[in-house]
Amino acid sequence: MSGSAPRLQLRGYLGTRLGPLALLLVAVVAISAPVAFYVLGVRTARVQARATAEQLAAVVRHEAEQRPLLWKYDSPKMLAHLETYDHPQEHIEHIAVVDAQGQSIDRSGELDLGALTERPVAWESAPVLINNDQVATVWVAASTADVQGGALRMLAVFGLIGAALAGLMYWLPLRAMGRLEHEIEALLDQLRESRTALGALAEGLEQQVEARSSDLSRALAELKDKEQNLRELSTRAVSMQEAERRAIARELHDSAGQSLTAIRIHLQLMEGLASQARASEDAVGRLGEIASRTAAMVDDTLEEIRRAVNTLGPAVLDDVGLAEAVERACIDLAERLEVEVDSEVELPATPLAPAIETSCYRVVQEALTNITRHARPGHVKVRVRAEDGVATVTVQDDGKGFDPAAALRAGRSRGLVGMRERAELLGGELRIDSAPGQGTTVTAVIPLG
Amino acid sequence: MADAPPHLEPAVPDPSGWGGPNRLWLAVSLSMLALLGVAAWLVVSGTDQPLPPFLRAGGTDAPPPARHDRGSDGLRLAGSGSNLPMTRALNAAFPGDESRHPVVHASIGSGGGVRALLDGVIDVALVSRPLREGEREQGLVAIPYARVPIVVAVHTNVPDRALSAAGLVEIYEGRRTTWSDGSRIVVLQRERDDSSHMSVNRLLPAFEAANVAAYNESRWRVLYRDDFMREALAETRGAIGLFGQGAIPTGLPIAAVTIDGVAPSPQTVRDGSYPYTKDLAFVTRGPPQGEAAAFIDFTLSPEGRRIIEQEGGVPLAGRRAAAPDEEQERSGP
Repeated sequence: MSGSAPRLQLRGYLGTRLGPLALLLVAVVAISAPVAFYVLGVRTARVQARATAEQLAAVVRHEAEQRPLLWKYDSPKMLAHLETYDHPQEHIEHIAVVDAQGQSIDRSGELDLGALTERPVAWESAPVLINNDQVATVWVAASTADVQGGALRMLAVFGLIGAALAGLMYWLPLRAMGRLEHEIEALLDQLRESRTALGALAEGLEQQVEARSSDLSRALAELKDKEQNLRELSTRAVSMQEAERRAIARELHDSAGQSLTAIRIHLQLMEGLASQARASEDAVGRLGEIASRTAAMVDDTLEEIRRAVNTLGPAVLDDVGLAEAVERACIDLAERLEVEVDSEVELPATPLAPAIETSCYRVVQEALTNITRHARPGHVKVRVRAEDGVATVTVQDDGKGFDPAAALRAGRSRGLVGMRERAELLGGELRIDSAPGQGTTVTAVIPLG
Repeated sequence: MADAPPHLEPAVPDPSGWGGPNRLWLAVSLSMLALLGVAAWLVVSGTDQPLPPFLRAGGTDAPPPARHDRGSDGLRLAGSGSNLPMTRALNAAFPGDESRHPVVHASIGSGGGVRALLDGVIDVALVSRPLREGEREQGLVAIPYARVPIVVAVHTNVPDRALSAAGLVEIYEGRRTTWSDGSRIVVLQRERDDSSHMSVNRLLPAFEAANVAAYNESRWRVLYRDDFMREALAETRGAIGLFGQGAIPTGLPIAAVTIDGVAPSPQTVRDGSYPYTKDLAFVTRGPPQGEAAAFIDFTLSPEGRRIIEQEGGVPLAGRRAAAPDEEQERSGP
């Protein structure tokens, strides 16, 4: 442990606080009991002296009542006798009877006033009353020397007791605090070690986090690569699918469609010839009728082929390209609904990938279909733009609008779902901004790369 | 650890910021001052007391007792109880109008008689001990008139009637505790400075030592009047005590014992074989005059001497001091 580490000073702090308290305890213990002993002892001596004075006053009163002239000359002897033999009370230091003139009746001259004033005594008196006249006063001096001596001895003893108690009061908490301080120091040492270990652990953890972050970054990059690859793969799959669809559509259009068209023309010729030959009316009529029904069947087949071709892939894109196809769709819508349709197509010189072109066209086609069916607009604006690596298709109308979220929840917008899936399949997104009475804006953003 | 960065060092509590001990010292000092103040007040209030007049600064304001000017309302005598029976017998035989006889008061002791005489309360003090030097210096005059034996008396139930001086000392020392029949000895003492004890003390120092020890140990009953001693002897079985009034009064269960084979009597006192005696005296302020001189003259007269002997005393042949007017008459033509 470092020698410069700050140390706890609790023991010293406690010692500086306990010192004055210990001193106060010594003073309280040393002084209280002796003073109480002295005060009670003096009070007891005074009570005893007063009781003795009252007893002697009763005796003197009896003597004075019996011998009004000579009582004061016999009383000293009587009092000396009472003091010495009848009431041998060691604590009674002196008994004096003072007459009404203030003179002590014991004028033997043996009383050492100096010594009496120097001795610690407590004086008490009792009057000698005869017919309410105070003829004398009995004074009794009770010695308080024993009380003084006892108080001084108690002062010494209780001083020692107080010092011992104060020592205990000082030493015990200090010892406990010393132990506590030692424990706290040990805990602090443990805390220092723990913090050091924690610091080392934090450093290792940071390194681990950095390593994990690096791994995650690497995994994220790989994931992005894989996503990009997936997107490219998906784009290629869509492109291949679209190309295959277009090939199938072209094949149907170029071969089966042409053949059926030729058959239909033949059938029309057969029907015209049959109407001109009236000779064998029945057979010819029957031939014409068959030709007519066959021609109807061919029409139906042609319609189905046309619809299948349109479904598999807009052949118009192969024929006239995306820009012209969008223009035609807009013109077709304007003619069909008799509304003003603005179209703006800005494409690069190099043609877009077939899948992207098809998706853009499908979005425009589906949006215009929805306008035809539901919007009842006064004005429609179509914009297709390819720049900054994305193709953006915007179809905006001022029709009656709708709640896109509600429509999606109700499953009533299969066309909207198809547009969104088509955009997302190519890594793009579809946004529909619409509200009832507010018109509708459909925006599809499809990445080019 | 020594190189650990600072942020790893835990915050150690620093008590120096918790306030200094000065406030605590101040509180403790104030508490101790309050404690000392209360203690001093308790001690001083306990010792604050009124003092008797003779201890006050300047003493008593009262003047010294004035000597009584009693005029001529009769002669008053008072003093030692040892003198009383004989004095009362003399007073009863004093010739003249009984209404003019002296009044003999009850016992107030030799010392009380002297003080009453000095105060002028009485005319003649009855004293059974020698006058002290200080008393003589105040002009008091003693006229001894009788010598009486100090009787070692016992209750009549005591089987023993003879003691040796050493045996008497043993009893007062407490070494002998039973009479010859095994009954318990009850010692009755007079107070310190009693004239009877003082007289015996002069002859038996061991007796004085035994009495002093008994006083200090409160070993025996102490009686401070002759009449109390008489009553106690009469009423206490197995009792022994000193009796200083001369003859043992008749009619009481009290008996005298011989000391070293000598019985206390006027004859043994007169011939000196019984040494334990004391002299009774009248004390006056200066030579007696007037009624006092007449009463004392009667006491010293043959009739008075007869009465003294009758009371168990030995008349003393001492002559009273002459009063100044008498001296003038004697030195006259």
